[in-house]
Parts: sequence; structure tokens; C-alpha cells
Amino acid sequence: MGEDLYQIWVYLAAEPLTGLFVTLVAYRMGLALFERAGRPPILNPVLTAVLLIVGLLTVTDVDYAAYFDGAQFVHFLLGPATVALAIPLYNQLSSVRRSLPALAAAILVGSVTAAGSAVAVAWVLDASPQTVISLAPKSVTTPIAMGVAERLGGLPSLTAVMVILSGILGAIAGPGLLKLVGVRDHRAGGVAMGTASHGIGTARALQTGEVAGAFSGLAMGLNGLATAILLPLLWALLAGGGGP
Amino acid sequence: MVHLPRLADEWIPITAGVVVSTLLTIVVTGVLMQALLRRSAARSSDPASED
Repeated sequence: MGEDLYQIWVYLAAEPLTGLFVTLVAYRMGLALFERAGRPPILNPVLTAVLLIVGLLTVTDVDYAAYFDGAQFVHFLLGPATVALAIPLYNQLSSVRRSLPALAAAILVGSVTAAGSAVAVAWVLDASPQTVISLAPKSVTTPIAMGVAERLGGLPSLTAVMVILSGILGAIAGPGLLKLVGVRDHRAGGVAMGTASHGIGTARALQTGEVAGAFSGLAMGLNGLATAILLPLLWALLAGGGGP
Repeated sequence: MVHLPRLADEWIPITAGVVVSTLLTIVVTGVLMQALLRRSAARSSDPASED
């Protein structure tokens, strides 16, 4: 029996689908733990799944590229899933239309707050210029953030790590924090989650309901756009004033 | 991990930057959005979608 299992593992480990299977099982385990424990925010299923997979890859000494061979099927679904965010948005269209000026103002201020405060804190704490630059676009969705970081002379892969951390932190702390400061409007909560924590925040907002999910998805997209346009401009302006 | 040395050297500014910025952005964006929605609702007596 043990020998059989070993044979199966040898076969499976060489299969790209193992990466897919591991990813799905890790997420299901994360979700089961989350539900079983009474849904505490800290046991965010995405966080648990990430830790489980990192742990497994480290222990079994499988490199990321081999794992990704299989996990790319999930990665591919990120595209359709993002496009599917248009459905809750469409259902909320009249509500979105009515709040358009507020939405634009909140996202612009949020976008500048996200980049400005990250840069300011890192700079005050003596981070190297390249680290500071890499932090600036960390609140927007990974592909945009990496593109912006690259353009400004940062390290795109370092930015990607910070993007994921911002997403997980926002998903864990966001809903409690919003309650704490008295934000009860689902539209406002959704915009806050999407602006600060992109897709991972939006996934969390969707659990709250369709209104929060729709506004979060929209905010994630618009903040990506705002950051891609504003950040290089602001950066050039600051650099012109005596920066790097 | 390509960035391990950098993360080891600079984990304090990186962590502080991510944490402060993420939490601050959630608070600022959420509070501002709610305030603006209330203002426009008061102006047009449009029913707010609060629960």
C-alpha cells in the first residue's frame, strides 16, 4: 500500500495538474478552517492557502515554476473572474450612476493617500529609493502595479509582494476597521476595500453583498487607472523638485 | 526568493509602509465616500442605501 502511494506520488509530482490540485485543496482547507472557526477575519482563506502552498513548496523543494505549470489554470481564470465583476456592477448601475461624483472624488483621494502614505512612511523609516518606488503603486491590481513600478524604476517583483500583502491585510482588517470608524454604507465600504486592496479586497467585499462587491470592483479598476496616470506624473513633479 | 536580502534589511519600512498605507486608505476612502453620499442624498432627498 505504501509502495502504491509512493508510485502514485512519483507519477503525480511530474504532472502539471498536481499544482492545480494542490491549489484547490489548499483553498478548500483554508475555507473549511475559516468556516469551522466561526469566520474570524484573521483566518482569511486566501492567506491560509498561500501559507499552505508556500510551506508545501518549501518542504518538498519544488520550485515555483514547476508548481505554476499546473496552477496556471487557476491563474487563467483570473481574467474571466475579473470580467465577471461587471455583472454585479451592471445590476447596481443606477446606484453607481447616482453616486458617480462622490465615487470619483473618493477614489482620487484614496489613490493619492495609498501611494503618498506608503512612500512617506517608507522614506521616513530610511528605506532605499528603489524600495520606496516599489511601494508606491502597491494598492492597485498586480499587473498595473508591476507596470507602474517598472516605469518608475522600482522592482516589479518586489511590488507584487507588497500588492498581495496590501490585499490580504485589507481583506482581514478592512471590514472591522470600517465599522470602527462608522462607515456603514455598503457603497462606501466597497469603494474603500477596492481602492486600498484591489481584487483580494473585492473578493472580501463580495462576501458582504452585491452592493459592496460592485462598488469595490469598480473602485479597484478606477484606482488602477488613476494610479497608472497620476503616479508617473506626480513622481516626475517631485523628482523635478530635487528628488532622485 | 530574489528579494530576501532586501526584505531582511528593509522589512521595517516595507511592513510599516504597507500597513499604514492600506489601513489609512481604507479609512480615508470609506469615510469620505460616505460623507459625500450623505451630502448628495440630503440635497436630492435620494434614499441612502444603508442597512
